[in-house]
Amino acid sequence: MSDAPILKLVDLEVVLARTQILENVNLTVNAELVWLTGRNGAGKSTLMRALAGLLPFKGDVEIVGFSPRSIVARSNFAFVPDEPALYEDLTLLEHCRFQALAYRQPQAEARMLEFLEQFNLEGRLGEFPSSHSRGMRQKLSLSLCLGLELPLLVLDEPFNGLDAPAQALLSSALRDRVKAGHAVVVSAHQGDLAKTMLEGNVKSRVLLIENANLKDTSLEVGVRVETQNLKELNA
Amino acid sequence: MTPARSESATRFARRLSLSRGFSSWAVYVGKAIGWGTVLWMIGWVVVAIIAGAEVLPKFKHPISIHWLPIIFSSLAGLWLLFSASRSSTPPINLNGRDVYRLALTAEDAREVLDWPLWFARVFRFAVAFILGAVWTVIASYWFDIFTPFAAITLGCIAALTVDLEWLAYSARGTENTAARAWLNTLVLVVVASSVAGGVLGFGLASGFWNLNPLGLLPVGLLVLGVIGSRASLTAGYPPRFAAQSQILSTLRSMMLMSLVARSRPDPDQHRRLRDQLLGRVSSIRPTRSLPLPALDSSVLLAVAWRSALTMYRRPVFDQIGLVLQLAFVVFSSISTVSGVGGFLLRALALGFLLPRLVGPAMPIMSTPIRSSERSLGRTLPGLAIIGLVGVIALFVSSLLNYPLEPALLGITRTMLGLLLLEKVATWAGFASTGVEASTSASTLALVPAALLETFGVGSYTLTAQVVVMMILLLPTD
Repeated sequence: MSDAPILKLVDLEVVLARTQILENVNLTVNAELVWLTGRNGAGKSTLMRALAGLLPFKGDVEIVGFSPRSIVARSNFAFVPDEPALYEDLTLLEHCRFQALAYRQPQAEARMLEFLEQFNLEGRLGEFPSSHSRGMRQKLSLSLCLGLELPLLVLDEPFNGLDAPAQALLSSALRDRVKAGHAVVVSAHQGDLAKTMLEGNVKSRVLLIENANLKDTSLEVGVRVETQNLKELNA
Repeated sequence: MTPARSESATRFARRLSLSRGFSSWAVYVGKAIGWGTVLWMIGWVVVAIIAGAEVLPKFKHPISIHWLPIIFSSLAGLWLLFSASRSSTPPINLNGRDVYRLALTAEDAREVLDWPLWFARVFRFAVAFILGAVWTVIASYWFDIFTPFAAITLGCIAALTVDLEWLAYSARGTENTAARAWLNTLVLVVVASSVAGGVLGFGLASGFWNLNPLGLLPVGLLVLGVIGSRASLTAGYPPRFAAQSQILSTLRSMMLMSLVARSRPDPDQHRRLRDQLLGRVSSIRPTRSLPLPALDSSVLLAVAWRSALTMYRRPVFDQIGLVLQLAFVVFSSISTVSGVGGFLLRALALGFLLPRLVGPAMPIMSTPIRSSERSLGRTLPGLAIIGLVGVIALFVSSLLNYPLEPALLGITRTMLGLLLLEKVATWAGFASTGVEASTSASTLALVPAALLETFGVGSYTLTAQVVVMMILLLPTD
C-alpha cells in the first residue's frame, strides 16, 4: 500500500435538491477511530455516502489514494449504511461466502461466521435475512463488514437496533480494528457508547457536523473524553 | 379523544391525503403526458368503440339465446363460489397509517375498514360495469335482445366478490361466527339463484338476457354482502390481517411502480413477498440450494453462482415455462414467417424471454466487483441454458433432417440478445425487466440479420452474430 492516508477529504461539498448539505469539508484519517456526530439531518449519513462514492459531490475524496468509485478503493473499505443493504435472495451463510469471494478474501468467511456466532445467529445461517428483525439484519450487515480485513470501515449508525451485548461486542471489535492499524469512521448518537469506546486507549477523534461544516473537537490518543464533547454528542 | 372526534380527525386526514395525492397525480400526468393528450386519447378510444360496434357483423337471423341462461348463470355462480373459497389473503389492504389505527388504537375496526372495502367494491363495480355495457351493445347486435341491466348486474356481481372474499378470509381459522354465518348464507343464495337462473330463466345473471327487473337480483345480493361484511367486523378483524396488509401494500406498490416505469416487477422479489404473504416456509429458508462455490473461486464465478442460484430457486413451473419459451424462440428461426412480420414476431418473442435469463441486479454499489465480472456473471447461467436448449434443438433438427443453420441462428441470436440486454440495462440505468431494455435488446439482436438480408448477404448472419457477441464479451474495464 502507498503512503497515502487511508481517507482524505479535500474541500468536499455536497448539494442535494439545491440544498447545501456539506461544504468545505476537509479531513484526513489514518489508523484511528473517528466518531462523527451532529444533530438529526446535520449531514452525517450524507458525508458517509459521499465518501463511499454513493452520492455526487464536489471536491476530492481519496481512499488509500484512489477515488472511492475505483476498484482499488472499493477493495480497501467497507461501508455499512444505516439501513442494512443485503442480498435478499441469499441466506446468511451464502452472504458470507459471496462477500468473502467478492472482496477476494477467502479467509474472511470464517471470521464473518465467528461474528455471527457471537451475535447469536449461528442457528439462523440457513435463513433469508428478509425474515429477520431489524437488529438481526444489522448484525448480519456488521458481521459481513467486520469479517473483512480492510484498512477503512465506514459505519453509519451501527449501534441502532442492537441489543446491549451486541453493542459491547461491536465496540470491542471496532477498538481492535483501530489497534490493528485500521481506520474506522462511525456515526452515532449514543454518547455513553462513545465514552466507552473513546476511553479504550485507541487513537480517536470526535467530529461534529454543524451548519454543513465539519468541526474537529479533537481528542488525541488515549485522552479522556471531555464533558463538553459528550454534551455535544448527546445534543 | 372521544370516538366522534377521532372519526372526524380521520376523515380530515384522509381528505387531506387524498387531495394531496390527487393534486400531485394531476400535476404528474399533466407534465408527463399532458392533459390535452389524455383527452385526445380518450376521444379516440370512444370513436374506436363506436366504430368497433358499427363494424360488428350482423347476422340475417339473430343467434338463439336459449343457451345464454345456462352459460351466464354457471359462469357467474362459479366466479362467486371461487371468491367465497379465497380465504388465504384479504381482498383489500391498508396504508401504513390505517394499519396503525387498526392495530394500535381503540378505533372500531368497521371505521377503519369501511373505506378500503368500499373502494375495492367501487373499483371492481366500475370495471365490470363497462364490460357489462359492452355486452349490452353486442347482445343487441348479435342476439337482438335489449339488456339494459347487464352493466349493473355484472358490476354488482364483481363488487360482491369483495364481500365474499372478505367473509371467507375473516371466517378462516377464527372464532368469527358472524363471518361464517354470513358466508354460508350468501353461498346458499348464490347457488340457489344461479341454479334458478339456469333452469327457470330468472336468477343471478338474468340481467344478461332479459329485461325483467328481477334481473337486478345481484343488487340485493350486494346489499346482503355489505351488511355481512360489516357484521363480521363487529367481532374485530382477523389477526393476520395487519401483517398481510403491509405485505400486500408493498406488492401493490411494486406493481404500480413497474407500471409507471413501464417494466415488469422483479419476479424474484415478487415471489419472495408472495411467500411471505402466504406464510410459506420458503419465505424463511430456501427449499432448494446449489452447492456453495469453492473459497478460492473467482469473483466472476461468485456472481454467476448467485445468478444460477436465483434461477434454480424459481418455482418448477417457471423453469419449465422458461425452457418452453426458449425452445419456441430458437425454433421460431426455423419458421417460414419472413419480412417485417417475421422480424416483429421474433423481436417480440425474444423481448418476452430475455429478462428471465438475466441474473439479479447487484444493488450494493460499494462492493469491489468489476463491471465486466458483474456483466458476464449475470448472463453466464442464461448463456449456459441457451446453449443446453440449443444442443437439444440441433439434435432434434438433425433427427428430423432439418438444416442446422436456422437453429444455430436462433441460438446465437438469443445469446446476443441476452448480452445486449445486460449491457443496455447497465448503460442506460434501466431495470433488466423493463420494457425499454428488453425491447431495445431484442430489436438490436435482430439488426445483423435484418441488415445482411437487406444487402443480400444473409448467409453471413451467423458469423456476424458471433462476432458481435465476442465484441460484447470483451472486458470494458
